[in-house]
Formats: sequence, structure tokens, C-alpha cells
Amino acid sequence: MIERMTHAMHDHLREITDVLVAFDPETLARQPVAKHEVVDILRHAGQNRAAQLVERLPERDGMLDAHAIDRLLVHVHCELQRLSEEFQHGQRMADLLRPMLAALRQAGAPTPLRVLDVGCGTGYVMRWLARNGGMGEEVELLGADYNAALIAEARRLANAEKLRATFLTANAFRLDQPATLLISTGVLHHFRGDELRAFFAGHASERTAAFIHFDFQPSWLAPIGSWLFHFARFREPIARHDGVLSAVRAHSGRTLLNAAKQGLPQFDTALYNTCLWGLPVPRPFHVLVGMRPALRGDFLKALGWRRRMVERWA
Amino acid sequence: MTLALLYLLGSLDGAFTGIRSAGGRNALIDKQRHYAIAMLYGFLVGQILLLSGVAFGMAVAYLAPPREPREFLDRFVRAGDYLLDVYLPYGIVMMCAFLIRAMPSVDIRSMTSVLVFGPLTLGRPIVGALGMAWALWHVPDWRVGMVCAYVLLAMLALDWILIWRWRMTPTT
Repeated sequence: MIERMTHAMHDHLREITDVLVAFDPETLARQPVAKHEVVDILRHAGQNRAAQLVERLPERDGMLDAHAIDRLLVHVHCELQRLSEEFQHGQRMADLLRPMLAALRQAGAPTPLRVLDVGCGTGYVMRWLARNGGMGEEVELLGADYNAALIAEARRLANAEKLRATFLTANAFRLDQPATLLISTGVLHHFRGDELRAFFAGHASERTAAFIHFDFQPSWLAPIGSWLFHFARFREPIARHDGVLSAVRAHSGRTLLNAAKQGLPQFDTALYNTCLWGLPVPRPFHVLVGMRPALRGDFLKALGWRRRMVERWA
Repeated sequence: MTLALLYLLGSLDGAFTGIRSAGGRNALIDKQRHYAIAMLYGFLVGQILLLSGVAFGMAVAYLAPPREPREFLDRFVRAGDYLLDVYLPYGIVMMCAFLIRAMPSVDIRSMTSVLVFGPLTLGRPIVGALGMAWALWHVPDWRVGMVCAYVLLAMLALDWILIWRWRMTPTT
């Protein structure tokens, strides 16, 4: 109940990085953003501190300076990567990805098996998997994001370490060659209401067989835990602000399961690993896994001892 | 032994401050070189600050009344024992967390960050001040207090020095 109340209180709040950039939904072309409009949106939502942070950002003729915003977003993602590293996120994703890929191979899914990170940012997860994951030669690691600057940074970083991962400035659900398996990290809470159902509906392509989505888990611990962690670990004020807000705006497991069931009824969906070692200690992230029903048995078998962490099928 | 242990703890603190200051500044996957350089930098700058503390201590010993260096050293060593009462457990907990982090469990590794490194980093200035207060409670000597305060402030300033250094260096 506390989680529902917290969620309802924060549902109207906006993350700063969500309102600093705008893209044409069809062409993904960057659109100019008026600084005063962003400030007004945040003040209207009662986010005065956020409005102050935006007021400090550079502008040109009243419009937010796109280059400065891109540099800021790259910097924010560098700090976000630290959070992923401290929580061993690459390994956690790999622990689920390997059994899912095993199930896909068992089912004879056409190769290459395309694993696509939706809203990949600077591509940390795909770069980590390319370096450490050992996914196999027939697996293609892809990342997609609307923001060309973040994708350029992802490519630069992948090239610097000669990592086999491809990054695209694209809508992940409108690729010429759809993905076999869609993943994401910290993306779901950005979609609210009908947008969340539409997000899952976007998975409904003939080739797409499964998904693994990690996102913040709301809990009684999330607000204070998130604040402490971001205060201790993040330097950029906007990254701190958005990081804390992400935790309090997170969707409950029930909301995610319902949205997936409504948007993508042809998939079996479940929550995975919501509590620490079976104790009543909520994890910072929960995972929504989904797959075509034919894959379920092989996936659970390939999970091995981790299968007991699969909770609440929708 | 007391002074050697304090110097060792200060040196480790410098090295780990270097590592901490480097977090979130490099987006490559393999960061061994990045952290190795950062640790070395923190260690070296920490040495400069510690040695400046030694020099300050010697100046206090020889110049501050009653100008009895041997007596001052004895009192400082006694105070150092009380500093170790606080700083040694702090250091041991940190080192143990690093050892635990080597375990092949994502949950255990994550917990060392959330439950140990994060809180102890936030508490570092408080631990520093508590150690000094504990030492001065048992050895109330203004000269000892001056030297302790100098070294404490210098080691806390190390964070700011390294932040300044990173501001001059572009993020990778």
C-alpha cells in the first residue's frame, strides 16, 4: 500500500533528462527545446529544484544548447554506468540471457540470434556482454537509442576496446530486421499508462521471441536507499535528481505484469528475483521476463537452480 | 609501531581515495589501467600530504612551547594509540570488504558497495573527527591537537585535490 501511495504521489513528476531532449517520433530528428518551457513544466509539477538545475544550463536564443545537452547526457550515462557496475548488472543480465539463448537454440530459432538493448544509452550492457558474456558467434549484440550523441559515444567506446556490438540511432521496434530477444535496463518506468502497454505491444513481431527487462523496483526502502546511494556515488546534480526520481516512479511488479499481459498477450511473462535470497528484503531492481510459450520449459530448465527465483507468472 | 601503522593507514587512505575519485569517470569496460593510475595518483598525492604533516609535526615539536621534542613525540605516540582505536577497525572493515568482493556472487559484491563502501565513504570525515576527539580526550594537548587537525584536514582535502585533477582531465 505504501508503494502504491508513493507511486501515485510521484507519477506526475518528470525526470530532467526526459524533458531536455525531443525527437520527431517518425524521423527521430532532434527537435529544439525551449529552455523556459522545460522550466515551466518542472515548476508546474512542483519540481523547483529540478527547474533551478535546468535554469543553469546553457542556451542559445532561448533554446537549450543541443551540444551542451549531449555532453551532459554522455556525462550522466558515464555516472549511470558506475551504478550498473557496482550492482554487477552486466553479470545479472548474462545470467538470464544465457538460459534464454539456450532455449532459443533448442527451439531452432533462426540465426543470427539478435539481442537488442532498447534505449541502450552509451551501450554499457552490450559492451559488457561483448567483452565478458561469451554469448556465442551466432549471437548479434545490438543497441538502439533515439539519441544520436549517445549512440556515437557507444560506438566510440566499443571501437576503443574492439568490442563486437552494433549501435543504431533507431526506434528499437521499427528495425528492418527485428530482434529475436529484446532487453532493457531502467527504461520501463519512463513509460506510463497506455505508453507502457504500447511498449510491450511493440514486441509483437514474428521474429521476436523473448524479452528481459530490468527496472527499478518500488519498495519502502527505495526512496531513502536511492537517495543515499546517489548522494554518495553521483557527482552530477541532474544525474542525482533523476536517479532518485527513477526509484520512486518505478512500476510495481503487478503493473508490469498487467501491462505485458495486455500489450503482449501471446507471451508468457513473469517476474524474476524480486527479493534478496528469499528474504523480505526488496531488491533495487526487479526483472520482467517474457517469452513465447513454447520456450518456457526449456528456459526454466536452462535456468537451473535459478528457476526458483521466477515468481508470479502473468 | 604506532606511527608506522598510522602512516600505513594514511597511505592506504590516499590510494583508496584515488580509486574512489576515479569512479564514474571512465566508460570503458576494462578499467584496470584507469584505476591503477588513479590509485597511484592518490597514493602519491597522499604521500605529499602525509609528509607535509610530518614536517608540520616536527615544526610544532621544535617551535611550540615548551619546545621539548622528545616529550611531544611521547605524547603524540600515546595519542596515536587512541587514533588507532578508531582508524584501525575502519581500515580493517574496508580491507575485509575488498576481500569479500572477490567472491563470485553478484549479490555479495553488490552488497559490499551498498552496505560498506558507500556508508563508510560518507562517514569518512566523521570517523576522522571521532578518532581525533578520542585521542584528544585521552591526551589533552593542544600541540597534538594541531598536528592531528592538520593531517585530518589534509587527508580530507585529498578528495578536493583529486576532484580538481579530474576536472582538468576529460572523461574517457
